[in-house]
Amino acid sequence: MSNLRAPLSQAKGLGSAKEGTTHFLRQRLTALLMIPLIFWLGFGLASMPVDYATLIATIQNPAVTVGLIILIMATFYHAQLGLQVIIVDYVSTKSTRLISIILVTFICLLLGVIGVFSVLKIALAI
Amino acid sequence: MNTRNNRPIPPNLHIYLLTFLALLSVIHPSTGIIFSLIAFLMIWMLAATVIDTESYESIQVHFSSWYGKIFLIGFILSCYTNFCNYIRNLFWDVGVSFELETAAKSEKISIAASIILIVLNLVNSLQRRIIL
Repeated sequence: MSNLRAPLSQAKGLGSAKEGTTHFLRQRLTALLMIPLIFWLGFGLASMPVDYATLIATIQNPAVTVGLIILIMATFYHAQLGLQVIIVDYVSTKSTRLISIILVTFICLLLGVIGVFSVLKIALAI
Repeated sequence: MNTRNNRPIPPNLHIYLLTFLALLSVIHPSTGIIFSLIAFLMIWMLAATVIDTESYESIQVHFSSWYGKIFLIGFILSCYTNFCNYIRNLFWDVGVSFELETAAKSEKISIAASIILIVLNLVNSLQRRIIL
């Protein structure tokens, strides 16, 4: 006899995580935001001379500063959401899955904060 | 009454033949992973820029070397492959072009568009002597 519980009590608590399409929507919205920013990064920012002074001067341009901060935040948020989907799809062991999702979330948060801080530090020259 | 052992097996890469359509759905997350790894390197470079000129140049040496160029080309490749396929996915998300024929066609368009963007960006970078 495997189970004495009623079907209803088994189903209870296994249902909605009260999240719905939040993850899905945020992944699409960050992607939408990244469409113009990736063009800007690829054809503008990443295609400029690489000497130190030019790089600093470019980042200190207010428009570039704001664009870079939005790009970094959108990228790492999008990366976290996307990597979470990949982990859920391909890692079958529950504990490994949970630990890797937590790790990926923390790493993305760390990288995003380092990125935004670096851009601000250069832009404000502090 | 044991039904557990006779359950159908979930879709799996080992069981199904990898068709052209399926290939891109595998490439898409892979390019996502590559993009995330290279974004990590970019943040590393940005953080080095903050410290001082020397640490920036010590990182820039690696980015200007042959393996650094492979990384940058990999960045461009994974970036635009993921980019074009994501736009295709966004069309699916609003409920357009689910038919197999249209999906196969949009896959070709997505691959062609990503190749065009990759070449354009490489040419752009070459002209400004970023790569090579």
